[in-house]
Amino acid sequence: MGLEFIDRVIKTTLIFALFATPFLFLYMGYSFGLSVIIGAVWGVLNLLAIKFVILSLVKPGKRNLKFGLLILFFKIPVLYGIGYLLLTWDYLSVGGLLWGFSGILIVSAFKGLSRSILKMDNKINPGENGA
Amino acid sequence: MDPKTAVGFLLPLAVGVAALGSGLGLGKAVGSAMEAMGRQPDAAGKIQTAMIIGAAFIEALTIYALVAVILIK
Repeated sequence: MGLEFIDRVIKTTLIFALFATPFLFLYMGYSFGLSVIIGAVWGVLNLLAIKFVILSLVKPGKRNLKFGLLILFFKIPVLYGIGYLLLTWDYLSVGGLLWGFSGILIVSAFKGLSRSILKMDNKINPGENGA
Repeated sequence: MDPKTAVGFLLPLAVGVAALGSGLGLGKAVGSAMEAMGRQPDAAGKIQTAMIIGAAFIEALTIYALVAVILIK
């Protein structure tokens, strides 16, 4: 399970949110559907920010301090500030925002579960076993 | 004490406790990951991936606490 797992989780979440939005508009209302897609984008941006912070600051070897701090500055005040504004905006549904935000967590949990069931991480790549 | 006043005092405290728990969890996760990467630098990619997913889950808990407070308010 390499770093491409994160990119696949992000892609799957966005595709799932895009497919689900028209149905949500139709059956749950415009406000709820919009809240779900905005929540999904919020969750994706949050995960991307965490990814860049960890990849630039928490790694063996030389750290990219400037980029990491720039992303931290973007993540903490901007992302959480926008999240607070979205949650307190009366037009959007808080439940929809939460479903959208949780989407990326649900996708990553299911992807991890499927990898575990299919035993994809137990396979030894050629050359890794020292043979 | 008036119930409304009590809720007004307790809600920020609840977010604070949730943030404290998340902070402690995140600190432990990052510390352990750094230790693991120090032991096995070749496995850094796998460790970072697990840490990114774990950090997202831990952070989500604080956001859920914030949302709960906003809903109750």
